[in-house]
Amino acid sequence: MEVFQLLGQGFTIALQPTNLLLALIGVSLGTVIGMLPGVGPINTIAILIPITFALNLEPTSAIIMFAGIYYGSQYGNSISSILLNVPGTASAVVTALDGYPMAQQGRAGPALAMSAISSFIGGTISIFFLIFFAPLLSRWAINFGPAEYFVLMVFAFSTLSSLTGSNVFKGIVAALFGLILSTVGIDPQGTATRFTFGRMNLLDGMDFVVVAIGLFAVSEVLQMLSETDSGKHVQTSVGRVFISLKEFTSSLWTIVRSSVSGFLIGALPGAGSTIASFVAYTTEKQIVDRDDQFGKGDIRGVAAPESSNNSASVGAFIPMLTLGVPGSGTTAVMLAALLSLGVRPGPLLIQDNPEVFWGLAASMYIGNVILIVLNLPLVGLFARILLIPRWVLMPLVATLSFVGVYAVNNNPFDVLLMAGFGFIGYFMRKLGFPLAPVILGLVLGDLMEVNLRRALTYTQGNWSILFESSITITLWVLTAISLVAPVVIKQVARRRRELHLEGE
Amino acid sequence: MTDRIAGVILVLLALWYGFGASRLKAGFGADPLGPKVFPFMLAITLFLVALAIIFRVDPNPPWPRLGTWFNLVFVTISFIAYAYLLVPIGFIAATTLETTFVSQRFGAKAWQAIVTGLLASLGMYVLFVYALGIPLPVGRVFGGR
Repeated sequence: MEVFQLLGQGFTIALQPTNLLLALIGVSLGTVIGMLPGVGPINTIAILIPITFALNLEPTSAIIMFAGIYYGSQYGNSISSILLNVPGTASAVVTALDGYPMAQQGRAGPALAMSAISSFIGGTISIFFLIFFAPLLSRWAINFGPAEYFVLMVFAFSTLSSLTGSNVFKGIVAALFGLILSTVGIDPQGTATRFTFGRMNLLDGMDFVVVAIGLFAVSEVLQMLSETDSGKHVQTSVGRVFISLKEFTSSLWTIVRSSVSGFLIGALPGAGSTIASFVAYTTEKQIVDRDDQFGKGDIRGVAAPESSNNSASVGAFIPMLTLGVPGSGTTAVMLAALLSLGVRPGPLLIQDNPEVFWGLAASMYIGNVILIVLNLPLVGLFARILLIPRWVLMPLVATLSFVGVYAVNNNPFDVLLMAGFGFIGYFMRKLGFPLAPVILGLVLGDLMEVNLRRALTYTQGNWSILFESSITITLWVLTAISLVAPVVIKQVARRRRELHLEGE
Repeated sequence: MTDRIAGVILVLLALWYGFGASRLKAGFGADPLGPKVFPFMLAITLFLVALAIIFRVDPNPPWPRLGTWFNLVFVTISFIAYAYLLVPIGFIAATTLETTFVSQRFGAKAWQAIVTGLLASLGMYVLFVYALGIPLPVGRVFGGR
C-alpha cells in the first residue's frame, strides 16, 4: 500500500537524531509547563511556539517539536489534575474525576502510569485508523451540518447522568449553570450583548480556564483548609508507582473502545476532545462499572478519557488539515503553527501533499513514544509531590492558579472571577452538586447555540430540520438509549440479584 | 434544609435570568431564533429542575464550625484582595503576602510561612518572566504601569 510507504517516509524523517532530540526537548518542556495550574496545553504551545522559530528549524523538525510539546503538555496537565485536582483543559476535568480520588487513596502512581499508557495506546490505535479511514472520514465529517452538531451536543448531555452522584437533578443544575455561563458576553451571532452588567471585561464571555481553575483548584484549597481546620489529617502516601497486570487487563477494552469512539468524535470538525472524553467516560461507566466505582477512584475512569482524548486529537487532524477547522483550542494553536510554516490546509491536502500529512502523523506518533519512554520512569518522582506538606503545597496551588489565570489575558479581573468561582465551587461540593457538568455546559453551550441558530436560519425557523437527516435520527436514538439504558440495566441487575437470593 | 435553600436560590436565579433574557433586544440582521430563545429555554429548564430539588431533598451535609467559616471567608477575601493589589503593588509583593498568609492559615509557623511566601513569589517570577517570557506586573508603586 502506498500509504505505508508514505508513512514510512514520515518515520524515516522523524527518526533522525536531531528530530528525536527535538521531540525529547519538546516533551520535557511541555510536561513541565503543562503541570502549572492554569497554563495548560493551549497556553504551553502558544508560549513555546516562538522558541521553535528562534531555533530556525525546518518545517518538519518544527512540527515534530510541536508534537512533543503537545503530548508533553497534555500529560503534564494530567499530572496536575490527578495529583492536585487542577485541570487545565476540559478533558483533564474528566481525568480528575477518578484520578484525583486515586491519588488521595495513595494510588497516584498507578493513575499516572495508566494515564501515560492509555494515552499511548489511544495514539497507536488512532494512527491505524488514520491510515485506513482518513479519506473516508473526511467525507463523512462534511455531512455534519449545524442540525447534526446540535443533536450531537444533546447526545453529549444525555450521558450526563453518569457524571452525577445520587441526585440526577443536581447534575442537571450543574450543566445548566455551565450553559448559563456560556451565554455571558456578545451572543454568537453578534447581535446582542447578554448578561455583562455593563462590564467590558465580560464582553468576550467567561474564559474556560478561569471557571475551571476557580471551581476545581481554588475550591480545593478551601476544602483542604476546612479539613485541616477541623483537624482531619489525611496522610497521603505514594504507594506503588506502577500499575499491576490486573489493572491493565481490566482497562484494556475500555481503552480500545474509548480510542475508537474518541477518534470518530475527534474527526468531526469543531467537536474535539472535550466531547470525546466526556462520552468515553460516561459510556464506560455504563458498560463496565457494575459496582458503581466510577468517580471514587476507578482506574478505568482514568483510562477512558486519557485514551479517548489522545485518539481524538489524532482524529482532529482530519478536519484540521482537510477543512482547516480545528477541533479544539490546542489543535487551533497547532493549526496556527502549521500555517506559519507554510502548510496550507484544504480538501486536497492528503492527495496533493501526502508527505506533509503523513509526516505529521509520524511525528505525532514519535511524540507519543518519547512521552511514554521519558515519563513512565518519572511517575514515582511526580507522585512524590503529594508528600510536600500542605502548608507549602496549598498556598502554591493557590498562587500558581492566580498567575496562570492572570497570564491568560493579563487581566486581574480574571483573578477576581476565579476567586468567586472558587467560593461557589466550595458550596457546590458541600451540597453535592457535581462540578464536571459545569465545564461540559460552559464548553458546549456556545457550540450548541450557534448550531441551533444556524440550523434554524437555513429553514427560516422550522424546527423539523433537527429530525430530518439519517445522522440526526441516529443520534436521537442513541440519546434515547443512553437515557433509558442505565435505568433498564439497574432494573435487570436488581432482578438478577433477587433471583439469586431466592435461589439460595 | 440546605437543599431547600439552594433550590429557592436557584428558582430566583432562573426567574432573574429568564427575565433578563426576555428583555434582550436583537440587533440588526438577526436570525429567526435571535439572542433570546436559547437563554429562555435554559431559564425554563432551570426553573423546573430547581423545583425538583426543593421537593426531593438530600440529607444535610456536615457544615464546618464557625471558626472554620471565618477562616474560609478570610482566605476568600484575601484572594479578592490579591486581585485588586496585583497591579498596584506588583506581583512579587502581592504574591509574597498572599502565599505567606495562606500558608499560615494552613498551620505553618511564622518563619515557615514567610520563607514559603518569599521562595514561591521569587521562584514564580523568575519562571514566568525570565524563563517563559510572560510579563507580570512590576507594581505601580515601583514605577510600573
